[in-house]
Amino acid sequence: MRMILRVGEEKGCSLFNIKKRGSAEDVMWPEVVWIILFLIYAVVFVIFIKDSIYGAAAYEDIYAKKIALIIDGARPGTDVKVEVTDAFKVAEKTKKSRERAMSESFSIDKINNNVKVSLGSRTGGTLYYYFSDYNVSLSSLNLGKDGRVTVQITVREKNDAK
Amino acid sequence: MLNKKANEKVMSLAYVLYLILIGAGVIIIVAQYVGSPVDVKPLETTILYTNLMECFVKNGFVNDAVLGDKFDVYSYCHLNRNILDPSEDRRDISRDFFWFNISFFDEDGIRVRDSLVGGNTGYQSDCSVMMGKTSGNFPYCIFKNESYFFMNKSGEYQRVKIVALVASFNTRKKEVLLLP
Repeated sequence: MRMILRVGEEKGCSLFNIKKRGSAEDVMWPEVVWIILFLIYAVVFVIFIKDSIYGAAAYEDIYAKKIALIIDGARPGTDVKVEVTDAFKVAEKTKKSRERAMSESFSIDKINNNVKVSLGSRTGGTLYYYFSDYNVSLSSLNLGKDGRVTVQITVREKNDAK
Repeated sequence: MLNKKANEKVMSLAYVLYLILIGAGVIIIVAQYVGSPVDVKPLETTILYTNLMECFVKNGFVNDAVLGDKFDVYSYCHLNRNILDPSEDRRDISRDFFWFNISFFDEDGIRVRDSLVGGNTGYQSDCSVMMGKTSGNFPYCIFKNESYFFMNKSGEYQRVKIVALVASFNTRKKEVLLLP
């Protein structure tokens, strides 16, 4: 009995050795970790490139600034419709959903005085601040019969309920 | 056997480094090409200047309310104080900053009241140093400085001088966005 065990230990076939060699730590985990890391890298890379190819970042920057400048230059009682068809087409492609593109692309934060345009597939977006201190609101996107998409900016006095 | 394992580890590390290098390179090039910001500071300066001018001059006359001691330029001209003059804890160097100075003179060039100064005064001196030039340590600034003569309600001429400034440390690309 003693002999058998010794022979087994010498040849590296003891229960302990077999478990160690065949364990996930030795064989599986490094490969799995590399694959997961590579997948994360690939996903981030593809999302970034896809958004960039569609020009999401550039459109976000342009439209956020354009809307902020319109707000800064507007007087109370102003209603302005801004055509955002190009930006909407980009949002539709990146967000893969017309509903998401309609609801998430343009928003305004009245407390912090900023316009947010989010056209990429990521949740962030581009913020731009306006310095005008009127009551400003941004309508939801309006899809016209001719296919043109507009967003309406409304500027009112702060104490004006309308 | 040991050498082979060591080689594999070195190869894996090199593989990751290659991925990071290629990814970073592509991201930097694409970001530079596609994501360059559009510079609207000249337009912002003009809008700020116009807003101030329209606030002080109504129907061709200098507004008398301006000459009062307790005149608050922010509330009177509907300008948001938190954006134009953020408190220390809300200041963000990546954002544009604003500064303005309004002076009122009579016909003889004597000041009618103290200048109304607002906005972020921290970088205004840097801007006056860097007029028209750019440098990494100094902000990129756009000034608008003009004076006009107006008549007050008493029929006397007054000169209103407005200096508006918009500046930022973001000097990557300077293109003017033209509104339709």
